[in-house]
Amino acid sequence: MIWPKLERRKAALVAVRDLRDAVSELRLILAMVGLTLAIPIGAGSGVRALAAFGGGTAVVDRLSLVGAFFVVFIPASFSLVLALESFVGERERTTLEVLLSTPLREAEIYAGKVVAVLTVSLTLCYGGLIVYCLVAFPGLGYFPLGILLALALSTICQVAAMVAGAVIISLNARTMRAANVMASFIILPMSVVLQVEAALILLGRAEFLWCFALLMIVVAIVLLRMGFNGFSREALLARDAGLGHPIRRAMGVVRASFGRRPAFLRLLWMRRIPMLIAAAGFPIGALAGFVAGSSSAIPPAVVRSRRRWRSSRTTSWLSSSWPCSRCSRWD
Amino acid sequence: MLQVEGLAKRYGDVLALQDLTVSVEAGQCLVLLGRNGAGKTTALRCMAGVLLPSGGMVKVDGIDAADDPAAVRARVGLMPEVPGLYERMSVRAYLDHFGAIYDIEPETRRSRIDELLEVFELTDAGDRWLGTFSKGMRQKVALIRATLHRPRLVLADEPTSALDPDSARRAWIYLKDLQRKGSALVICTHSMEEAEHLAGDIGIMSAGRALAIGNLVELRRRSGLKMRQEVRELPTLQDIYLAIVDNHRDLAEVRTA
Repeated sequence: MIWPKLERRKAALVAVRDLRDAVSELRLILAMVGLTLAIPIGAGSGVRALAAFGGGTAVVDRLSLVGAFFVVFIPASFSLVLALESFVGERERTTLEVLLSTPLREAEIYAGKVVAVLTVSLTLCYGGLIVYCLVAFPGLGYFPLGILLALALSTICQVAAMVAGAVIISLNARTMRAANVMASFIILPMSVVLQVEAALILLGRAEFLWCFALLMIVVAIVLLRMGFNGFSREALLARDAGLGHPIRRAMGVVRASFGRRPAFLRLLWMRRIPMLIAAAGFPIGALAGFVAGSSSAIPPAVVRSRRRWRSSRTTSWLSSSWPCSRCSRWD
Repeated sequence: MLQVEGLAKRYGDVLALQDLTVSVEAGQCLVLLGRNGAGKTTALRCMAGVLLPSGGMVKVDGIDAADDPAAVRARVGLMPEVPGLYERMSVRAYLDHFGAIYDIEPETRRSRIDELLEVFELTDAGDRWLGTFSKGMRQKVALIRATLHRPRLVLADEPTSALDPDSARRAWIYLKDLQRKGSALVICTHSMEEAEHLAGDIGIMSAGRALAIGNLVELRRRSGLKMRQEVRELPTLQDIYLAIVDNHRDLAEVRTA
């Protein structure tokens, strides 16, 4: 995979300007402060109140985790608005031509804009999470560090994936209204992702969350690459002339892309790394499983306790209590 | 300084520019005239390395815009038709931002910004947000931004269209001064007075083509216009422009290839 060259100082110039713009309006600042302080304080206070007024330990523990997830997710949605606005907003305000006429490379403009949006969103997410932790956990006798760290990592990756997707939309939309409509292509898949993440948090197993974060990293990298590859001064500045006959144009693009497709052997060579990973992954995984099973790499106690847990779930799961969050096993 | 040969630009099905050939030496000024949609802005964008030509070649300072557009953009100062300023920045912060993008040293940047704000009588407004500026003031800021890095080639699209006569005259003096210092200028305008004041060569464009390129004397001869009978004076550029465009009316709007 070849990454584009960029001068970090110049990307930082673009990012700093965008950040200044994002924090230059009082209404935006108020919204940000509200997201970072009001919601976490409210959610944290709710958890504490439940604990104080006799909520069961398992319920309070679970609720404190769901609260953390809730507090982190809401500011992350803010990133979507900022990212959608990044290119199409500048285009509508007619400032884009000036930016594109400078010697900045495509990679510098793209990276600067993505970094600016990520900085705002992640500051809000982590600010909110810290405030929430300070309000909710002291005195509760419970601090799930592993799950909170996994949640923090998966949040970065989720926000990066959302931002990358929104920047792709922003690059391709002609107006802000069109960009907002197209944002549903991000919101709908993300809602599924969030439900999965919420289920993993309720399950209380940090290792699944780490795997989830890894998956989101891959999605974010793919989307960021797609966004960069789709960045074209030409497309951003082209007049709307020649945009009639959309179906004919789409067919033309498809035909042209097939026309540019490399020969079969060359295509195999270009895709050698993913194909090697795919070909080697299954036997390597099977071998690793066999080695782990035959060499007692996994302690027998763990295997036994998992068996017991599974049998207790299948026999009397309705009568069992919530899994104990401290040991991540069902009581 | 600028060599353009057979330049063509296509947007989808529309051929916006075709077969444009011009050259501008250092210290020279080319003014492009033409009705709306004649291809002037597209020509400027191609010369600035912002758009890649669909055909032909653009070289700035010997660098081909298709080979190294970033190097071309570093040598060019483009002033678009719409100033396109960041409304929530002060003038100084705005110019400083673009100065940094063009790698101007902070000290030099500050002194140049002060000097140019003085030239355009904007010193007192230096710390005001650009969103509070009038149309004319915005145009002045756009001109300062385009020339802050002392580009070898200045490309300006209607640089004085929103300026009052006094400010316009001041802008012309500034552009003439840049020319004297060795910058090449290409200016698109609808103001015949501006064209007569600034131009060395004049290009008249219509329907994406250059109908005529030359200095005022050559164009006068080519237009076939004689002395204006009623006042016994030479025909103005306005007369010449209208005569040439009228002679090529058949070319007019049909550009679909």
